[in-house]
Amino acid sequence: MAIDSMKIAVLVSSAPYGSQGASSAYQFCASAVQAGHKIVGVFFYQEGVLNASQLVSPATDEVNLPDFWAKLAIQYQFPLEVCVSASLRRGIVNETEAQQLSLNQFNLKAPFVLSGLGQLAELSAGADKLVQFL
Amino acid sequence: MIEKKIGIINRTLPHGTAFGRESLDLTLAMSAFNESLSLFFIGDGIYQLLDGHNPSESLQKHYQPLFKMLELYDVENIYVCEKSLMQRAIAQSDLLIDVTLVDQQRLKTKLAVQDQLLSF
Amino acid sequence: MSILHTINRSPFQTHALQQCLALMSEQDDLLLIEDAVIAAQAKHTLFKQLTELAGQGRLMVLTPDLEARGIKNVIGQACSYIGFVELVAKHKSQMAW
Repeated sequence: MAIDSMKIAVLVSSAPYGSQGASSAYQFCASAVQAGHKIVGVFFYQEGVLNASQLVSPATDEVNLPDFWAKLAIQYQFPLEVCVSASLRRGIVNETEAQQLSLNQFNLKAPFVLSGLGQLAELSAGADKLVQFL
Repeated sequence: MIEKKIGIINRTLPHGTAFGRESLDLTLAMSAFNESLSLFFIGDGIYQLLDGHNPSESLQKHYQPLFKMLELYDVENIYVCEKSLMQRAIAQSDLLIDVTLVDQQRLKTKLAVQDQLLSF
Repeated sequence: MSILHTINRSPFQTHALQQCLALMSEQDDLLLIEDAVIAAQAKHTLFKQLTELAGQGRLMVLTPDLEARGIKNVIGQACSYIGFVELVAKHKSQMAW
């Protein structure tokens, strides 16, 4: 760990495909951990919640960003928090929500977790830096 | 630990995108955890506060009344870019809530003191 | 007390770069990413202002995004993702435009 290691929280506001923002966020996080910094958590908000869909299925020669996030988060042990209200509006649902809403399906990918905006406040409070990707 | 100063910058029109609505949701939620929030309305963001939204036939949520909750939630630092208002021929009296008008120099100073910035 | 401004849109598409430049303080840096990297090459109305920033060492351009778009001969300092992380370390906060 570098001496001047930072604790960084990242806010992702854009979808895994269709615009570049979430890819930029991923590359930033991967470089930050490589450089010895700590990602305290990535919070997915707005269109960013779509990064948490386990149904994202690009062609095999293309990047599957939800997979990339999952692997990086497991390797470097940081949480992938997904805003629950922004998620439900956009059709990202976990098993518990699906039961409560009487939906037949759920599609939240592990290890992403649905959480409230209070969780963003907590990440923000525990981080030296907050970096946002639109 | 000293509470972080968080600046939330609104620069997008309402209803065409959900940026404004989701920025307000975030502000109201974060205000329960952080008492050092400042809101900034710049550029097209000032239309968030232009009184009289009625988006029902546009199939958009009418979230504008929730701006009145800011006062109840003790979010009092609300800064609006004076130049952005002038460019759009909108007067302070046309706005839904009480705000502080700021010129660009003051805006820069207010932004510089924030520990974290969230942009919508 | 300084801000790292990051911008991801072309100056031909939105006014974000103009707004950003108007609100930058003297200690702030600007990093062009994604579509905004063309602002360091194309002769748009804000190019002179960017040239001044570059002269002061305050304009950075994300190299992978230049390469992705085949853009060459730009003003400002080339910056990798690691450089991006270092810029975040240097500044108090980041503002995404």
